[in-house]
Formats: sequence, C-alpha cells, structure tokens
Amino acid sequence: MKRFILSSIVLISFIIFSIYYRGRNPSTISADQSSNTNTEPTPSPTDNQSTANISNTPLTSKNTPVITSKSGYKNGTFTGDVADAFYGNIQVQIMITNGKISDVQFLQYPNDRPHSISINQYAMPILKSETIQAQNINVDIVSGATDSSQAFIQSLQSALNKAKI
Amino acid sequence: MNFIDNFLNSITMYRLILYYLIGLILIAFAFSIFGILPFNPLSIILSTLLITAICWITNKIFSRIFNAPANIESVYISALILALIISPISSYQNIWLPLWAGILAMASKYIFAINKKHVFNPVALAVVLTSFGFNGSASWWIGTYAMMPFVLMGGLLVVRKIRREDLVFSFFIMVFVTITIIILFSGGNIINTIWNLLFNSSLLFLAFVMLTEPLTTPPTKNLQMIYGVLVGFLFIPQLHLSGIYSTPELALCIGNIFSYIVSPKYKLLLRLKEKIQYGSDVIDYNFSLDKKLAYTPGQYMEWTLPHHNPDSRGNRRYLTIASSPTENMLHLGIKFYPNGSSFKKAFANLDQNSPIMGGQLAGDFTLPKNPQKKCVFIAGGIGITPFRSMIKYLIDVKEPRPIVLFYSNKLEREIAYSEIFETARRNIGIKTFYTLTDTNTIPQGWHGKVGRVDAKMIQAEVPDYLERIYYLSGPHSMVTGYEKTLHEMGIKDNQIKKDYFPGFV
Repeated sequence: MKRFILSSIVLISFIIFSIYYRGRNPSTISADQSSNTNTEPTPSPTDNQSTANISNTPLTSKNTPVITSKSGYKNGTFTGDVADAFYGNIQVQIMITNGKISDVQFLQYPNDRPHSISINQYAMPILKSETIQAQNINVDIVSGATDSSQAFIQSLQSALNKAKI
Repeated sequence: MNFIDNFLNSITMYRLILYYLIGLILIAFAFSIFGILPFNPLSIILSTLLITAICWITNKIFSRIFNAPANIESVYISALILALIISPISSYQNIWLPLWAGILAMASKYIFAINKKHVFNPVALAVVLTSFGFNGSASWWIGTYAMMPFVLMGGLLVVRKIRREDLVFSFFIMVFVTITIIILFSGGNIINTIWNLLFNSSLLFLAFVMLTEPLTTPPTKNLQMIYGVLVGFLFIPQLHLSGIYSTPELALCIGNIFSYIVSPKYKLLLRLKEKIQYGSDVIDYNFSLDKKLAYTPGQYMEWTLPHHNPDSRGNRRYLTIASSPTENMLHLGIKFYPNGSSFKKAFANLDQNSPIMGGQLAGDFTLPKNPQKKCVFIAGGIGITPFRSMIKYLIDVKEPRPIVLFYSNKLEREIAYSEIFETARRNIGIKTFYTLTDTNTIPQGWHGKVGRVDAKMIQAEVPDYLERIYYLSGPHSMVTGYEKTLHEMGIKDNQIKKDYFPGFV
C-alpha cells in the first residue's frame, strides 16, 4: 500500500506540474518565437526530404535595400539562404542600419523536436549577439550546437553577400 | 592490449563507468573555465551536485518503502549521466528539468519494474517523460567535438570491459546504413553527416554508456545485436510518427521494451543453505531455491551482496551459476585470495541471515545445440563453474556427449567438483584430465598431468583435436594464453568459445 501511495504521489505530482507548466508556457517554441520580432511565417521542416527540397533556395524577394553607407553594406533587411542544420533548416534575416548589422532574426530553425528546441534556445541568442559584435561572419561555433552554428554562418554569409554594395 | 585488459580486470564495470563519468564532468568543467565549452563552470558543478542529491534522496525514500537493497553506485551513475545530457542550469528557471529528471529516473526503477526488474533505462525514461510532460528535453550537450575524444576513449574501455562489442557495432552499422540511404534519396553530404553524427552528436555517448546498460540489454549475443539494430534504426533523427520525433532517449526506451520481452525475468533473493570448502580457498555456496530455475547450463547472473563500506570494486559481481537447472539448489563457486575485495570478504562471512540478490541472467557460453558436436573444455581454477553446470546437466538428463575436459589447478587441494566429473566419466563417458601447474608441490601418487595445458597434452589425449569446439574458462590471462596455443595448433577462431570472466579479486 505504501508503495502504491508513494508511486502515485510522484506520478500525480509530475502530471500536475506538467499541466501547470504547459499552461504557463503554452510551448517552448512559441515562447522562444515571442522574443523575435519576426512576423514571417516559419515553415516547419519535417524531415530531410523537405530540407533537401528547399535548402539553398534564396528568398531574394524579401530583400529591401534602401540607403547605402561607407561600411560596405547597404542599409535594409536582407534574407539569407536556407541552410541545412541536420535536424532542420536555419534561415536568418539581417537588418543593416547605418551600414552596420543591427539585428539578426531567425526565420527558420529546427523546432520540430524538444532536443532541437533546447539547443537552439541557448545557441540563437549567442549567435545573434556575436554577429552584432563581430559585424561579419566570424562568429564562434557554439559548443553543443555546431550544426546550427555552421548553418547560421552559411545563411548569414549569403545575407551579407546580398547586403554588400 | 594486455595492460588495458589487466587494468579492466582490476576494476568492476560499475566503478569503471562511475570514474569515466566523473572524468567527463571534470573535463567539461575545465573546458568551461577555458571557454572551450560555452557553460559557466560553476553551473556544471552545481547541476551535477543538484542532480546527484535529488537522485540520492529519491532513491533512499523508494528503497526504504519498497524494501529493496539499493546499489548506491547505480544511483551516482544515473545522476552523472543526467548531468551530462541535461544542459547545466543557467538560471533558477531551468531547475525543473534536472529536478524532475532526477526524481523520475530513480522512481522509474521501482515504479516501472515488473517482478523487481526495471524495464526501461532509468535515465532515458526520465528524459522521455519530462519531454512529453513539460517539453523539458535533454540537450545531450556531452555530444560535442571538444568532449568526443574523451567520450570515445572511456567508452571503448567500457565496451571492452563488458564485452558488448557486437551490440555497439550493430547499433553503429544500422545508424550509418540508414542515414546513408536517407541522404542518398534526399540529397546531402554523406561524409559531413556521418562525421557530425560520430563526433558531434549523442551517438557515441548513447552507445557506450546507455545502450550497454546490462540490466536493459538482452541476454545473448544474437539478441543483443537485434537490440542494437532496433535502437539504431529508431535513433535516426529523420524518423517520426506524426508529430512525435525520434530522440535518442525515446529510441532507447522502445528498444528496452524489446529487450524486456526477450529477457529472462528473474530477480532472485537467495539465502545460504550450506558451504562446501575445497582446499583452503575455494568454497562452493549452495542456496535454496523455491522452485527450479529455467536457464541454460553455463549462463551467469549478476549478484549483489549489500555490505558496509564496499571498496572500489563495489558490491556486485558477475558469477557463473555452477549448478544445473535440473538441481534443487543453486551453486556458486568462489575462490578467495589474500587481501581480497570487500565483496569477497562479505561473501566469506555470508550466513543464512544475509540474503544475496541475483539478476540479469545471461550468457552464450553454453553447450552446442548439436549434441554430436565434439568439444574440448579447458578450465583454469575456479573457471570450472560453467563446466560443472553443463556436465551435471548432462548427467541428470543422461545425455552422453563427445566432450573431453582439461582441468588445470595450481595445487591438488584446489580441485573442485571432482565427484561430479567422476560420475560423468562413469555414467556418460565424459573424460576429465586434471593437471597441476605448481611442479614443486606435486603430491606423491598423483595420477594426473603436470604443467599447464599445452598443445602436446591436447594432441596426446584428443587425436581428433582439429575437429573440435574449444570452450575456455578461467582468468583472462589464462584464456588468452590458451587461445594463442589453440591458434598455433591450427584451431580456427570460430572453434573457440570464451567465458565472460571479468576478474577474480
């Protein structure tokens, strides 16, 4: 009887906690997206098949160059190519203000499994701040998120290529 | 290689894994100090301590309520694995995942156990539950380039120690073949993908540390390979069922169900009936059985003997069952050495009041299926136990087989179970040749052989030696020595079977 009570306490507490936690954080994906100002629809890659089909497809129509400056980059918003991060795709959009990278947004990132979400949750802010600091693609690979970092650099490179004067 | 094997023989599997995991934590801590890993070094230590404390407390409560002797090493091992796959806590908001994972890992050993045998790898199940429960997912942060050389080196030692090469190999092959096929169809860089899988993913840590967990692996090599293939297939990241994507932990838990179905379900709690001493340092322990056990003669079990202050070799050992399934008693033959381990000392003091726990029946060191197959058994010292089991079985079922036994000991008084072998000679025609290796102490009137079993001795007694299957059982150095001798005699690898015998002390 004691065994049953103890087991039930643990399992029921866990279920109640999970429901409560999910209620407060509807999903980690949306919680993460809420930090982005990006309003682009985020295609959700399902598997490598779809990854292969859409990877390396430049979405140039979203680029909106406005003013040029001395830094070598045109002001405006530039979208990078979709890059394969093994567990899904990464695609970034950069904003150039006064010729400098002022913001980096993730249009796509692997978000179909909790494993990927947790990796990217901690990797994306690091990559973003490193890029704004470095003002180029020389960002460090984030340990534990090498695939994401490499795909990020690839997508960032193509976005910067488009931003070049 | 001998140096490595000698080292592995001097340490138990659980201690080896424990030191391996502690080593990984310390390396990750150092790498974080130097910025090689992106974590705060203190958060690695804090996470590890927190998870260990949670696991320890939870296990203490459950073992008390469930009245089950706890193996403290396995608690620490589970805690350290969790610390290596759950990202170190970066703020108090991240505390829920390690907290619940620790509680669930320990609780699952008791709650999700059938007949006292847990079904799932506790760590894998814990992170599957947290993932489904509140999206709290393991990041497998240990799977990075920086940590990979250490994961690989320690992992290879673990696999060699517990002889799970076939299981791990079949897992790798399945993962690589399936990934290659997927990439071939979907496009992509195969080399890059495999490189990433090998050195920058959860693959190696999962294979070396979690896939090989003895309690959740099937008992025989063939079944272990099927298990490896199954988990390997499920491991593929592209695999998903509707919205549920495969994760390493989920793959392992599904594999565990297969393993449970095909594994014997025994968990024995035995009490000593009597001891029979052979010479000064070999004792045959006889335990009462409520009912006869179904197992194949020659198989082994893992035995846990709770005792105070266990030494570095811990409180568990693999010991071959010396009795036959036809007997009403279970026999374990133990050899004692001067300055032996705390486990052996506890065994020496074993009485009717202190129970011993047995589980994980396993082993392929069994009689050939074809009764016509000619065999030579070669035993060194207490390595005789599986042969005692097989021969007693053949006597009881009255099945003569073309078997010759060479039984080597240092001294005459160390010879055990000679009455069984004498009965076998009389009743079913199995010949036993005794040999003593200490040539200075050969007793007067000794009719057996002298010196170690060598090519000359085998050729003289077994004219058809080239056609036979050889079974070797004894200390590791002896088994490898005999293996070399047999190769020199022209015996092929597939004619030699060796017992799992991971050290004596």
